[in-house]
Amino acid sequence: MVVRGTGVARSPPQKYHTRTVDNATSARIVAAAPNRAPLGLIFTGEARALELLETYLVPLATAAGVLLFVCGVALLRLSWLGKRPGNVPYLISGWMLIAGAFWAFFRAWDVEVGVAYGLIVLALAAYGIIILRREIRVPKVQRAREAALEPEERPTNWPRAIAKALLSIVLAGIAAIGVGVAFAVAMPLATHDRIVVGGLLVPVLWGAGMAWTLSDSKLLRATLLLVGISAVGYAVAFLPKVLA
Amino acid sequence: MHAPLEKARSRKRQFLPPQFVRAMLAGHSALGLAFAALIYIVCITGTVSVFMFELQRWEQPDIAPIDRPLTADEVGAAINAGYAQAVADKAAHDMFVMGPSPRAGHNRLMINYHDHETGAEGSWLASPSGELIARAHAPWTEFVTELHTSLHLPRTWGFFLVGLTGVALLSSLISGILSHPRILKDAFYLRRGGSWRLQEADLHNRLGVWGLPFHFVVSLSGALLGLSVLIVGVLALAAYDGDSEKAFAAILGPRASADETPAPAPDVPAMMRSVEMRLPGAQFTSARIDHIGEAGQVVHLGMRSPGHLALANTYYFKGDGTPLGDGGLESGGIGQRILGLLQPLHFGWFGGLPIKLAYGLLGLALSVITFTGVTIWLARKRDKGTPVPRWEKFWMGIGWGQPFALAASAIAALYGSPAIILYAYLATATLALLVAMIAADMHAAGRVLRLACAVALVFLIVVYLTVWAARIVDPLAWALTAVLAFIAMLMAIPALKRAEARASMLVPAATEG
Repeated sequence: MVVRGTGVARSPPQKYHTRTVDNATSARIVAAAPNRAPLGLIFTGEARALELLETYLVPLATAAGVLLFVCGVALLRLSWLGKRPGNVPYLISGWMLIAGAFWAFFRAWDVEVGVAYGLIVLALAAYGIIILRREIRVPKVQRAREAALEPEERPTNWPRAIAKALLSIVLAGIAAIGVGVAFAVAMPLATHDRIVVGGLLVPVLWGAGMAWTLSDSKLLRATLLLVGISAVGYAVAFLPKVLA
Repeated sequence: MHAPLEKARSRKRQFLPPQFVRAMLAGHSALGLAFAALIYIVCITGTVSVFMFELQRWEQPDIAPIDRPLTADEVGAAINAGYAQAVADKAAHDMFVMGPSPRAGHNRLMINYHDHETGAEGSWLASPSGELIARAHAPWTEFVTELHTSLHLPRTWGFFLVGLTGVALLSSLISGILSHPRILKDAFYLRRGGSWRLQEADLHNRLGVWGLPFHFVVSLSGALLGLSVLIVGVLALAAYDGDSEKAFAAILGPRASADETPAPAPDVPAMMRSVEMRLPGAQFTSARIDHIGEAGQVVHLGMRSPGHLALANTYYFKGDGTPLGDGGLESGGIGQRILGLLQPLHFGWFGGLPIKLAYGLLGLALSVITFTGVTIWLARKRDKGTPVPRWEKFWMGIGWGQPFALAASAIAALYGSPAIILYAYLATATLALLVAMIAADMHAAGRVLRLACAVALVFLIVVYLTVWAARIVDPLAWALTAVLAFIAMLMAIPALKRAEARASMLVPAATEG
């Protein structure tokens, strides 16, 4: 069997049945599109087809994934434009296409890499659709229903601002490091797992603590809670050393 | 006026009570304003740092890139040549070799060595056959990456401040989501040209919400990398007798012992072959040899297997070739794998140029989010009838002054010595602030600085081509120069158009007057 266009003779694996193209047909196709012969006539058997599929799986699945992400986000936008219950089919199909896009990326790149690629493409697809479908307005037109909530107005002064800064930066940080180190010392996990997960907890807890202390108007409550968390965290972290 | 609005809102049961949202918004606003400039500088330099390896090539375009993985013998030859040079430079103590890794965008064979006791060090580029061909020289890339990782402050303080900035960014993401009850209702809105505040808020929220996984991962990994010294320091006090080295060794693998008896340099090719026997298809990415030429030396060999996000797994060997296990960065426990993911996920070093371009766009989006966070506050002040024109101009000076200062520092790197880069950057950033403050209003300030940045970029391109044009052998240099020209155009055209539009708007007014 000859793989046309390359001129290379190949034998398919014996387990596959081959489906050959007769000479008249192949001559007709080559005459019609001589430059496209490699793609046009390459499917001379399932084995070759499978081989090709393997070769092109990554680019094909990636391209399909990108297309599915774009279509999925576009359908979600259509759902967002419509009203319930008429928009539900768009909503469901949009999320299904996005799930399908992730599946295509998993096929192409495996789960670990596919998740990372998928989330990036999803974000860029959404950015693209939002920018393409932006609304251009006449200056100074704002409907009342578009008015966003205003931040809480609070009387403040320098001592209060400094206290807030100390709470959110220093005390929240001390508490977060205490909890993270307690996790790293005391959790019954492998060394790497407890140290790395404990380390990851620190910025997350610190950030959450910062958000909470800055939004809570009651300074004493935040102070007491953070001092309490710090005490427990450092006690758990340093107790084994003290007792040893 | 707001009564019907409040009534309509109260009819629907809200997931987040308005009082909670308003409190969260107040915290989000305070935190954003306090850290805005720092976050912005870290984000914009981080976006540039994604292309660190490409910029290194741009700064030294007379070296041809290497587009294939290296064989064990080639790596061995490079290490031998590097070791001989390190001995000649009296800096043979620790050595780091980084091979080509197209997924990370690194297409060179680079050899670094340093002696931390004397401070002597060297950095070389080698040919694929292992021959040292030129000293590595990329001062501007080094300047930008250091600005991103430590703000050019003393290392410990710099890392801590950048880590704290990462925490502030993470906190802003949390409070931003919690203060955005219309997250679904506004999911696709991007209203331009209407109210200034609504326009900025739409851009801020859309870029923030849809890019959330990226923003979260980047700020979390950045915060952890920045705070690692502090966290490990406390951990060492609790569990490693105060010895941070010991605590780091528990995570990052064995360190060299204190045995200084002379010994032959390690046979890294043999180590590579032993890994290849276990993992056919594994490719060399890097090798770190601590205390090279001493009996206590230890090798950390980076070899990458396909299908993983980590740059490579690290295999540990004694100097005599005895294996000491591996870091499990590709297929170990959850902690080990997270450790392997931190750097590639933070810098986008896992999918070649397409992923880097995506990271560039998403990094730019994060910079825009930071910038618009402040402009929302400025617009709110205007809406309330208490505008703050000085702060408006100041923020334009920061926002558009940074790209201008970075462009000026790149010119300084090309024309002057590396020592003046930081001063050129600081002087230009200060000049940008002064220009902004004396401008008529924030629009004028933004326009002038954008044009200044465009001019600086054009000047940079001219200087670059004057210096390098005849010697460029790396095609990437041309591509990056074209990108710079494109950025200059993006900066200049809208600024010129706006100036034109304002001029045409002023004509009838002047006639009427």
